[in-house]
Amino acid sequence: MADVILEHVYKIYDGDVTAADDVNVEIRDKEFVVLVGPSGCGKSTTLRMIAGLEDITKGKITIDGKMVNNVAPKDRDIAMVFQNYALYPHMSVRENMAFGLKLRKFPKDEINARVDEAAEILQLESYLDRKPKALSGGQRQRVALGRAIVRKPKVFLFDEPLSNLDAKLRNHMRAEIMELHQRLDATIIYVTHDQVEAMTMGSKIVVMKDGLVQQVAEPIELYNHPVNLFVAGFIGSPTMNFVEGTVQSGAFTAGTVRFPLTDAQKKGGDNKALVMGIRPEDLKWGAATNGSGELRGTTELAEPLGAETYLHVRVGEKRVIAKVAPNVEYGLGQEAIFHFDPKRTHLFDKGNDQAIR
Amino acid sequence: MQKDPLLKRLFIYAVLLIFVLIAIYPILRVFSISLRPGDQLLSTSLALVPDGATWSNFVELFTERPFLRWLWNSTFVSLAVTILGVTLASTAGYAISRYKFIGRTAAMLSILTTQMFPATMLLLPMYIIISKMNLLNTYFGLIVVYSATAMPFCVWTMKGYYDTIPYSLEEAAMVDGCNRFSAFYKVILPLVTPALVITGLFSFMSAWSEYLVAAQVLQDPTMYTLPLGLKQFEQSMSTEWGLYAAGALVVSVPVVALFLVANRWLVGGLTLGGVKE
Repeated sequence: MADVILEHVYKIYDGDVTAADDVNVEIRDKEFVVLVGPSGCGKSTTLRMIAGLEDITKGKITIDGKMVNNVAPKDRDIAMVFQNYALYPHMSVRENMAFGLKLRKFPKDEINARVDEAAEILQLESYLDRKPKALSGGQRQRVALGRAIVRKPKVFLFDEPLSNLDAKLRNHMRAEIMELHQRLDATIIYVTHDQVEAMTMGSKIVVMKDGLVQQVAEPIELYNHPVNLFVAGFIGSPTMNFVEGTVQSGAFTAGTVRFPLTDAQKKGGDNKALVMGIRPEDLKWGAATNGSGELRGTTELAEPLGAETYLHVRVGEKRVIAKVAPNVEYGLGQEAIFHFDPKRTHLFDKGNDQAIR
Repeated sequence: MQKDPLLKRLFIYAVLLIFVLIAIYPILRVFSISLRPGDQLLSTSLALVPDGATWSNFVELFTERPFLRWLWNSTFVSLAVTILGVTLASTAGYAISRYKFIGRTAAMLSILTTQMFPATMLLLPMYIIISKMNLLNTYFGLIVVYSATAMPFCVWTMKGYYDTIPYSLEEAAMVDGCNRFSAFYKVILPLVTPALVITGLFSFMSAWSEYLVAAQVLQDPTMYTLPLGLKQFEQSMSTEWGLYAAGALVVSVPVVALFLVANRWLVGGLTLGGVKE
């Protein structure tokens, strides 16, 4: 069992820059947890605190039931994959991978066996004697992965490992890391700013912003029930559409958009300012039928992707994006009418950005 | 690569040749003088190999003069300065490059400032310090002064080189199982070999050919280093130019050899491929 538990963890840099603000996360054994957020949100700092590369200002981190606040990185039984690979340039691929094991005084046979095994998994067998400078970006990334997996640590830490690769290689490596997770049965903590990576890889996602944890949930839960405006806007591509409106006689009202609210949503009475969020795929082409909401605007731009088309529609001051079937006959500059199921909308309090359920 | 036109290349080679001649001519003269027999020392002949050329000056140098003693003294002092200089500069440069501490900038600037004073100006205070510490006429005193004068350059060189090495390499090493020191020793130090070699060469050179300080610190002729020894051939009534020239040539041999050997370590691109820039 290698649980990683962060309790009220703070990182305050000299002066008063708070990089991590009361972070509480429980990472269970064998979980694939993704820390995601825009740059500067504190996700890397949090990961580095787990690694022991940054001191913790306040709070407590335990790995496998043992408090590690003052334990050196080498004694935490973790392995880390860095964004810039951080391979040892003067060592061959084999030496790079064997380095950690050698330092831990593993017997030679064991080291060779583990390196060979990792090289096979990562298809690096024919590169073992090369220096990092003779490798391509993808190969270097795999060596960095190999260096981590030969150690068989309790916890793997990944710090944006794919952000330096081109899009195609990134997709490929993403799949490799997921396979690796299944094969190794290990706890993985993965930092990324890419919400697609987070959604596809994580079994649990921690969304952070300004050092604060916004929401911790499984990907689908995060997608369907974001707790606040930030999470709603951050997760999903194209991003969720937001329409500002108010409560009028028990219904959400914003220009031509109007639909009835549930009792919980009505709380706060008339004229309360709300933000309605709706995902692009929940906007359906065509006029509203009984009970559904309606949204009208002017089509300004279309992005046909083949399997679907993104329509950019001007609604009052705002632009919304709808994901429609490729056979929809839209006209640029013409009126577009969409309907939607009110149950598929997300409502947020405009005052504090929190979701109203 | 496109070649320059012939005329331009000829011109470049001609200019280079002139400079080579300017550089090499004095050395050839010294060589020529060292071969002269005693009766031709003041000859104005420009012949590279003089009439009646003889190795007798070299023989006399090693057999009748304490030249080997001076050679040993110089070697000892220079190696000690090199080892001390490289050790201190590599660690001090690392600390300045990697750690934030109060007075870091001030330390860097004061190190630099010491370089602005001419050595002769520091001679008197240095002499006073050395004599108050009872280090006059000791090798240790000489080594301390040489190391101290070589350090600023060495520390700055090392610091600059460490700055080019990404910190994530040490972090990776520390996660892999190193502590601070072993990360430095096993991962960083091998990557700064060129800077270590430059630092070493500089320390060695500054001790090997130094005269002024040695002349103040050392008084016992058996402790003389090579530059002091050579100066002995220069006397008030006559100068033994043949010996002087032969000695000068022998003194320069180890330095040339050292440069040739060190050359192979002075390569770039050691850190290539380690990190994505």
